[in-house]
Amino acid sequence: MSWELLVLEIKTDDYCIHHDPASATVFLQGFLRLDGMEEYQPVMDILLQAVDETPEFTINLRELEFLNSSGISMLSMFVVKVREKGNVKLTFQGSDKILWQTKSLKNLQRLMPSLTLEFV
Amino acid sequence: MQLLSEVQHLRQQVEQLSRLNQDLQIALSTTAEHGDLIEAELQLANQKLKLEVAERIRAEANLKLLLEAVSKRSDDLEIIIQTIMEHGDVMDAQWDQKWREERHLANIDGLTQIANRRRLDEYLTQQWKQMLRDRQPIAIILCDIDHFKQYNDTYGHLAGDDCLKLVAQVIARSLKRPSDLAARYGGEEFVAVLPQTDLAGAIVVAQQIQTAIQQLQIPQTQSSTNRHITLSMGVSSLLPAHDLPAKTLLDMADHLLYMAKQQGRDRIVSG
Repeated sequence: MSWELLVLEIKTDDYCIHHDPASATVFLQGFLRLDGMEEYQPVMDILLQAVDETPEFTINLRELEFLNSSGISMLSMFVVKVREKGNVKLTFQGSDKILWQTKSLKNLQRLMPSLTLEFV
Repeated sequence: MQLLSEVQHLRQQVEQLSRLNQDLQIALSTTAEHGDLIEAELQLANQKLKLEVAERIRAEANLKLLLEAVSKRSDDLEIIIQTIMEHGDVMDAQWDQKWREERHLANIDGLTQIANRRRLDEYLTQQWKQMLRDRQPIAIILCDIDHFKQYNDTYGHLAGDDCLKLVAQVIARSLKRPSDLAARYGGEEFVAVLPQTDLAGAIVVAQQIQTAIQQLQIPQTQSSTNRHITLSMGVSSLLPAHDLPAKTLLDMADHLLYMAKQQGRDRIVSG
């Protein structure tokens, strides 16, 4: 039992990061344009904390319209970390209406071939 | 006596032999011990060598693992760099697309899907300057749907919206050149901007619009002018001058449109 405060949500005018433990899913929504890896650390913390709790983990990006380069870099590092753990089934849910997702998510799959991509 | 000397001789021989035997035994044991020693030394050296070989194999395996880890890391980094780079490009394209969409929306009238007032003002000013440089005339046709208020009251606002859309489409389709622009001026008023067009040319276009509207046959039973929707139009053309603002052309057309209304609607007045 950890006594650390579990952060489940970060919400601003531009974006929202929300962890739903019931479905073992973290939702990233809106416009994520944080400045550098340091500012992405709280987001990374939510992801790492969430992935520790479950053998099957999903990241839902269907309403994430914009993600800057630091953001995709953070997701890349996360994917590598999950791959190194070796025992987590990771799924990305994306939208084929959002241009960047149709291109960049396939590259993340190159880092972790067992990564599942679900597009709607 | 001879026997005694023979015994003596034999004893000497026995002693000699026993000494030789002793010497040989010493030599044998010395040789054996020496062999043991060498064997022990060899075994020790062999063990050391085996250990060294095992150590070397282990070190090589570690090195291989390390090399694999480093190479995996390098592969990861290569993919990540490529991902970030391509992501940057695609994000750039996405922003550009969004910007174009916003710009398009900012220039389009939501209902009729032709240019809005904002775009009209921008385009007229731009073309006015261009025609000033090219010393070419520029014309506009200002159109107003006759008795549109009554049409709305009779058929309802949804029918009114449909009527506006149809009229806008007719005007837009009547303009053939890429530099011509059809715009909604406001309410039930529309404008056609015709660069490089004199008054005679603009009147021809206005007549084409009038004919096309007649062919639409949008019923308007309450109209005192006609049984169908008609347009009143003011057509003006000017050779731009430095001391004249683009708005002059619109003011002229507006005045001519007023005259068309005064003269009984469903007509083209030019000047």
